[in-house]
Amino acid sequence: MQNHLCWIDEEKLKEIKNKFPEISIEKFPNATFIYISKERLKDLLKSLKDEFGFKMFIDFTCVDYPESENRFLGVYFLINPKDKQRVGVKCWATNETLPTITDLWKGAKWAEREAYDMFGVRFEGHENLVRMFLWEGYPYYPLRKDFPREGYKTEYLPSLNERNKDYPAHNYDPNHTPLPTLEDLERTQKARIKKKAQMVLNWGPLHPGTHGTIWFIFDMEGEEIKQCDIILGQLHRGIEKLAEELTYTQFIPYTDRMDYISALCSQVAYVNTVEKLLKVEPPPKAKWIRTMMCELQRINSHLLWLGTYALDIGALTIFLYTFREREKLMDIIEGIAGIRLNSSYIRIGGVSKDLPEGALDVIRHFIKDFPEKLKEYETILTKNRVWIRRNVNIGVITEEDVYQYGLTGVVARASGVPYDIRALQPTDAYDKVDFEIPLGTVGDCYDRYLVRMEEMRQSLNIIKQCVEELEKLKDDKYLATENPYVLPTLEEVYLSIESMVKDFNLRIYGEQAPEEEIYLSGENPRGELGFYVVSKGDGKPYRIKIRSGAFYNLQIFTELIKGRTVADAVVLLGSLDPVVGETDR
Amino acid sequence: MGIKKVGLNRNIKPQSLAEKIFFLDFMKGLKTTIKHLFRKVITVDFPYEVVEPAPRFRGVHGLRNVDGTEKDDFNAWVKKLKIKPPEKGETRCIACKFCQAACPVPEIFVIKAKKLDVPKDHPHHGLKVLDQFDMDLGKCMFCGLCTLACPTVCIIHTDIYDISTYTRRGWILNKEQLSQIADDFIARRGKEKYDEKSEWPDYQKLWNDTDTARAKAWDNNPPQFGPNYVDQN
Ligand code: SF4
Ligand code: SF4
Repeated sequence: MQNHLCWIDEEKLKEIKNKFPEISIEKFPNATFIYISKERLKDLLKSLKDEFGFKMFIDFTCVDYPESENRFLGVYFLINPKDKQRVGVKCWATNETLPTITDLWKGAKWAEREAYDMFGVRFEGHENLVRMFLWEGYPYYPLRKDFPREGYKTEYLPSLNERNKDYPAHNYDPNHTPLPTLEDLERTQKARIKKKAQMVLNWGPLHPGTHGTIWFIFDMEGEEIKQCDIILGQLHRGIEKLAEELTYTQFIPYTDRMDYISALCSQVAYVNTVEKLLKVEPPPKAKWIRTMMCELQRINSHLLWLGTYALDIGALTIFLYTFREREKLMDIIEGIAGIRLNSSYIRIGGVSKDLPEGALDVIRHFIKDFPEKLKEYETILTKNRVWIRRNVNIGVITEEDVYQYGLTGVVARASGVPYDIRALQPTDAYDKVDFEIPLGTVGDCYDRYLVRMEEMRQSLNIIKQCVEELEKLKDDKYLATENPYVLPTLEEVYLSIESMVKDFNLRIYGEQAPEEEIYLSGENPRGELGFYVVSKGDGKPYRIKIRSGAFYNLQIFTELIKGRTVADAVVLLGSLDPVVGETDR
Repeated sequence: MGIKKVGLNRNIKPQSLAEKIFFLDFMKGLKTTIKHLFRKVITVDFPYEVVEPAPRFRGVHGLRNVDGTEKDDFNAWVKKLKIKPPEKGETRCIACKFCQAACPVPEIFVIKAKKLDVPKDHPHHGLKVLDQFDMDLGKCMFCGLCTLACPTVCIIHTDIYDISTYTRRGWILNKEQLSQIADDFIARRGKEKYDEKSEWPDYQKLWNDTDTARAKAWDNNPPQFGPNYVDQN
């Protein structure tokens, strides 16, 4: 059995072909898709799930091909966790409808709602097909190719637009795209939940406990939550739409702004996908730097989680202590990358700048310092009786749930599923470092806490190995500028005329990627962050679908909270650890 | 690579009766917090005390003027774009718009050059100068792609981060303001960031290691730079 996650093998494909003779198979170097007709889609998926072991749901999305006869193409991604294989299934949405697959995988519920919201594709049999990010009554489907990037500016809002005589070029348009009115919001809320119990309680969208702008609706009977739904979209910026008009390099800063707490991990996941697509191989030094930065960011992200989580439960001191350590990590990231949060440091083919003087010394100092602090947190929390009461046996997630909902990251590992992209599909230097994957046994909030604490130790271990290695690579290249797709450094532009022409072409026309499709993911602190890129051979991607770990992990919240109190909602949400920048995109 | 299980033997109940009665789990936690009571303050007293941003910090943009530290090919660029050769103290910008092309939000920039209005026999006849260079920082995400694209190291990031204004107009900077910002920055911290050919030098540091405000945030025990890393207490 191979160790690494790869695409479905020939043997299985042959068997599937025997069972479903009408399928056709589409192979790319880094993706394999099975085409099936709409009538047989459910049968194929069912047999993939039950007979071929593809029981984990990863992602579903649509792609718009306006010139083709059926226009919308549905794409499903599944994983076989036992044989470590991925498969993609494609199906044309005839008459703009597809059968729902929520009876096979519960996790498809939101994905289908998102596809409906963005493309207007309807899902027959879906239990409540309402919009995912936009409000009810919004007339357009923004990810369709005929929808303009800036939207339809129909509202006249002059108050925001003091006309400016001095700089005529920077006038703001007095017309804006419409915003939801109060009636719209009420309609949206009503569409999500039918009141059955005593009263409906709104939690959020602006509540410190929701860790961002998430709007929860609880239908309550006394203290007990009977039903729950979540309204997302307050932070929806249409990053996938923006990507379609940017070059591959220009999209890097936008990936920062998805999961803003772990920007470097998002950049690395994205850049790795594009590098695979363009067949760029970064130099070894860049790989080690990336791995090191990713792990620093992971500790940073887990510290923020620990601090705010403890704060939610009432342990204010932990918040102060974790932010003290986080500040140091921020300092390091600021010194190396330039900005503390949205660092935009990784480039196609390497990293944007080499490590400055003193970087490794400071990181070594941090490594030495940190285990003691980690112990401090554990002394305060792990055996504290309040902590235990609030955490143990709250929100138990079973292994079956993990596959049903496509849960990834810490949430999956705390339930005992060893699903870690760093080990399954190592990119950068992850295949050269030693680390362990901590696993939980019960899958409750307490396990998720333990797993995250252990992960910080493991990250520290990885950083240690990276620092040792980077010391040896001091004078190596950090950017594979010899590759035709990699932007040259300024020094090279200055030295050679070819570099200048290359620089100009890449900036103006973008990286001319081959006509190909690819799905690749990275292990973000919040779960699997996957990028499905459809390239049509232009300098700009035809479609980028971002598979967000936080989005899928948040979905199980509505199930877990049933029958519990509002106090548990805070704990549960904290332990799932969603970031709204990534759920909404 | 191994798989490690945590929580297999997790201790859910407070351990013993003695611990339960004497609240030993709280005591241990309190011991940690009380220890912190006697530590030195680690917060910075902003705004009376500020941490100096790192040299690589990407703050508000500036437009550098000619000051004798241009790259060797600067004159070639000026000639190629038919720009009037700038004197000392005039802007380095040659209106090539590479910054705008590299930017994910090109609407930020308005860059215009104009032909000089001089008689035919004047040496500058037919040459251009930069006329307008406006940046709308309200749309900028400080990603640094523009500064890496500029062939003359004209547009740079400074260490200014407080740009809040009362109106959106306040974020629109013109070329005089941008030049002023860059001049101030170069006078203040130019040596730290650029060498005499306007490149990022190898000796560029992660941050200023003598900054006392930053040292506070590092538990008053800041890491020391350099090859002779000695263990610190
Ligand atoms: S920092 Fe980024 S967004 Fe801002 S002007 Fe430069 S390239 Fe554009
Ligand atoms: S790239 Fe530099 S020289 Fe060219 S227009 Fe921009 S600031 Fe001016």
